Amino acid sequence: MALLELRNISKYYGNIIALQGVTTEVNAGEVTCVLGDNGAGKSTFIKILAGVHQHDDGDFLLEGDPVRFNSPREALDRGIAAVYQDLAMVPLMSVWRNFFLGSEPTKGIWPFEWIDRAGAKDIAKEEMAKMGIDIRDTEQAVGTLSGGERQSVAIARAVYFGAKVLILDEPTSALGVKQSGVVLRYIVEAAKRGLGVIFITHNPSHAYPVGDRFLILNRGKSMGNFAKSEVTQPELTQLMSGGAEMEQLQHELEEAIASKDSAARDRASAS
Amino acid sequence: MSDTTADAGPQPQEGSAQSSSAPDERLAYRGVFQRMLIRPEIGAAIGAVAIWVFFWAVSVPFGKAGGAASILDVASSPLGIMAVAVAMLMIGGEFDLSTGAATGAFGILLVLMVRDVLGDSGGWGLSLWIAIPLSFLAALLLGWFNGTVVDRTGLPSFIVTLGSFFVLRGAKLGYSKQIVEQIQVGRLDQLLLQADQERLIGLRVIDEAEGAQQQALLDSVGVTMDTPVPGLEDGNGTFGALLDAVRNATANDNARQLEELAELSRPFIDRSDKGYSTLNDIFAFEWIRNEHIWEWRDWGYTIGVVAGLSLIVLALYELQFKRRANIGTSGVLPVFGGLVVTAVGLVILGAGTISRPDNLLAAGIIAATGLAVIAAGALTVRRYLHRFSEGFGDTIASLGRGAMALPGIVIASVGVAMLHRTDSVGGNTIGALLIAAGMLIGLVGWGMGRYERIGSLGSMTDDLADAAADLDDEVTDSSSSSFATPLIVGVVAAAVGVLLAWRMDSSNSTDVVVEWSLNGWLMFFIALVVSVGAGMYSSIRGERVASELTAGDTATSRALAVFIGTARRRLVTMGILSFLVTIFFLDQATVQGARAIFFVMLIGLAMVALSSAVGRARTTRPAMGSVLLILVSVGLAGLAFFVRAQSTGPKFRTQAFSVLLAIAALVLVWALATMIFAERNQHDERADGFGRTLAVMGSLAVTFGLAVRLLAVTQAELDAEITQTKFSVRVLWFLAFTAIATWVLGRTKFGSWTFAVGGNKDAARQVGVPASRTKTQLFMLTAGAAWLVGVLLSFRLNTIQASTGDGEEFEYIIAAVVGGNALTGGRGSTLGAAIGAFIMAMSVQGIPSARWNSDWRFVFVGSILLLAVIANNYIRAQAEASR
Repeated sequence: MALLELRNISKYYGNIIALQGVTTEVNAGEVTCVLGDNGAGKSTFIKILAGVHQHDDGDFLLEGDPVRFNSPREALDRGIAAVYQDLAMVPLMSVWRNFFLGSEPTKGIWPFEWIDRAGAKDIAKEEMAKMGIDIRDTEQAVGTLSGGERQSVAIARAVYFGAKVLILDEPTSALGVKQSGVVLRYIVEAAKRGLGVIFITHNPSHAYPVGDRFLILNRGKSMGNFAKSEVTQPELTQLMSGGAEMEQLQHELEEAIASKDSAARDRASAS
Repeated sequence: MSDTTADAGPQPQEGSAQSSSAPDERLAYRGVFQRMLIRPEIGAAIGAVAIWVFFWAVSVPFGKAGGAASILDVASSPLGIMAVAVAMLMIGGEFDLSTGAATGAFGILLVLMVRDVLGDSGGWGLSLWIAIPLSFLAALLLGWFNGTVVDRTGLPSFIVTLGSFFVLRGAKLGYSKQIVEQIQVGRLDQLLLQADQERLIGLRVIDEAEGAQQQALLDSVGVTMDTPVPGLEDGNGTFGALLDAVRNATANDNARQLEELAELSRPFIDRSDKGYSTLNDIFAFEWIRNEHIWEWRDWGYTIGVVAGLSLIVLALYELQFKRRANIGTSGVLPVFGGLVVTAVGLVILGAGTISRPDNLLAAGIIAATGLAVIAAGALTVRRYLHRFSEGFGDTIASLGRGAMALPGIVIASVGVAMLHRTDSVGGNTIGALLIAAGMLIGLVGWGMGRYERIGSLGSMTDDLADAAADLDDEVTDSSSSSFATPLIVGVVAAAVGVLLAWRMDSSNSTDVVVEWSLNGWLMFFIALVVSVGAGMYSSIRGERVASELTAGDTATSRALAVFIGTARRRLVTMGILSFLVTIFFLDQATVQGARAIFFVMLIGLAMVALSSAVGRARTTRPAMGSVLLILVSVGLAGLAFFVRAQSTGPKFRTQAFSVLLAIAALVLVWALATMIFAERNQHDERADGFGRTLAVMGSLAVTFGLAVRLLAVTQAELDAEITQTKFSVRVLWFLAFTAIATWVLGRTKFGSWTFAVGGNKDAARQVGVPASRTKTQLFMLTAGAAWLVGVLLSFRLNTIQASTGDGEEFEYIIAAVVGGNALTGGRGSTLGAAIGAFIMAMSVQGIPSARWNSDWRFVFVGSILLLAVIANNYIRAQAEASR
């Protein structure tokens, strides 16, 4: 049985069809990549999974049970954790406070209840170490970390708080090549620890190496749901852009390049 | 990361003793001062000191106890409490402009609720016991309303609370005009007048015998009971005349009869004043203090003790640097608390009367110990609770053991209280013993939470025997020495210092012995150059000689080299201190002054020498250090009794005796505690070195303070006139509020969430922080603070103007910003806001007392605001760059 299964999920905002008939599944220890260009419905898709929005049609099964979340907290309680593009981090706060934000470990009895700072720092450091991330000082403000490090804090936090399904919303979009590689490693690391990972991206070259299953969205519709064996990376790129459109684009590009080259030749002969 | 941590697994507290979370080796050590620089309140703290010094220099009354009292009063009651609350709200990313008007509104509400007769509409006539919680609920309601509207509508809190501000302002004005036809609502203290009235009525219904007794008493003060009791409003009627008669009687010699009368009628007062007397003590109590002649002597004492004890606290903190990461801070806090209590006690002693034992000191210390007992009780309860629950490991256990330190501090505090309340030898001895016992229990408790116990007693006695043998060797054969030279130097210096002080004490005169013909500033400069130069020379020479050491050198020269090498920072400190002492005698030196200088210098030398002797003895043989400490302690006690027996000056005799005895007890206790517990198993060279230097500097500063206080008394001061100053209980409310707010902000979930909703509300919500609830609670907090201020105001003024508090909300915000709180939210500190309030209060008080036109106040406040913000940014940028 799949950890999380979606059958013909649809979502409407008034008369706008944001998402229609999307089907996919997420298995424990596997990475499901959701690919799509801007405006393809990726954000709506993860917001439904994370409980920010509710689906209007179709079935949303979590470990076989049909579910419908009313708030992010509910989704979190059922083990679905989302790491958003903006990371849900408070830049001025320290790494360990961010790590435990909203679920601080406490000692004492209310109202004399205080945060177990030493314990929290130790756990934060240990958990990050397990993901292969070595933070020097957990008192450091998150704002002073690099983009990849911030991702790692967010991922480690989700893993520690018992996430079964980890949703990553474009974690590599704002990162350089090297940093992206680091984050992709965390994704594989998380899957290796038995989590089902949903990796949302618009970059097939990031998705293909780590993904086990690919869902391609275009204009709110599913362009296909493949296992890795059923598809190649160029095919993915093609599907993402909606086939014909891409050919059109390629054609236009070739024309533009040709005219550029001829212009260069003209300049060269003139001088 | 090492394998050990990777394997440790998610078992939070289990085995934290051997857990491997030592600070990362890639982190460079940063001294405690450097760490303090990135605190948000640092700019405000520096500014506060600078402004204080500035006004102190330009205005005489500003620096006296009276000036201090009024600064405290202004800083605490409306401003400080509100600034702290507003700061928390600002950290949470919101503003509340209704706070100022709310303070007056809740004051008026309280008066309305309790007064019976108030103009046309009348008051509600409730008891204060009901009115106070009721008005508090009203405050919470206001906060909830503000918070909910801001949250639901998504409008900026500026706009919403501006609305609330005008609503409150209008309501205050309208209500007070309609009810009393004035723009004020008042006479809360009329409750007492009513009580007086009812008391006189009540007097007649007691039984006959008592009635007769009362009648006799009343007759004796000239009041007839047959007088009809008219309405209260008629202040000039017969009842008024009756009260006047009673009051006049108080002023005359019938006071005793009246006291008896009051005693007899107490039940009626308690019943009929609606709680005013009791609550007045809580909200508006005032301590009357004898204003001290706040001369250089007391400055020296106060600065020395405060600075010294702060340094010692920092030193302990620093010495914990490595261990702290493993076990947490639980055990240290009681010790710090104890030191703070002692510091407060000493400062109170310094600010109090010169010769009489001080009641307030006792009261303060008893209050502090009471709190400590409560804390200890709470900790013990926790311990038993957790014993029955599972999943709590070593941290709780060590916290429980650390709690043992608390009773120790209680006992020690009682000892300090005794020491300063008594003049007898017996009392002094008991006081010192209590201090010793308390410190021992405290240190044992601390050590149990912190250190490992030394394995077997057998090995310890062996160690001691060896150490004793070593000592013999050292003394007889100084050529093999490592610590004999400094030991001997130290003992001699201490003895000479005390003896000198004792000898010169017999000539208790204020005669000027030296009249400097040179300009004072020249002396100042020379002292500076000499002291710093001496320190630098010893530092350079120490390093050079130490580096040139060869096997061929004689043992004595090696010992000297090592001594200078290790002691150089302490020598620099001593130089600076002797320079400071010199400052006090720029133009004239009295016999006492000269005595104080000699005493400080010799005791300073003794401490440097002894500490380096103890330190070096410990490196070879741990028990040896303890043996030396015990010897030092015995020597100090001997000196104490010698001084006690021989000295002629009564003040010197008693105070020097108790202080010497207490220090001897402390040293003894330290020795015992180090004998029982092993050293830390993880050292940090730099942290330890810095910590030890701080400790020595701190002890020197305390010695300096004590010396100045004990040895430089002039008869003129003893004879000087004493004026009175009032300190209000509002200061305590402010301190308590700040302390609780600081704890909540830094240590609790709510505090963390406050930072989070201010820093990035959406992010906080996404990870499950109840952001709306947190913000609403913050608004309720500011409204609650406004209520507290309103209550304090109404008890202080009795009559509240309709315009009270209007427009002050900006001062609260300014105080918070000056204290390092970011206007954009997400960063700041309540402590900073409290300091900001002090800065504002100093500008309120300082400008008139410097006899400048107080209209310039706002220019001053504005400049401070700009400077503080710029300085904060600059300092933080610098500190962040170096992290």
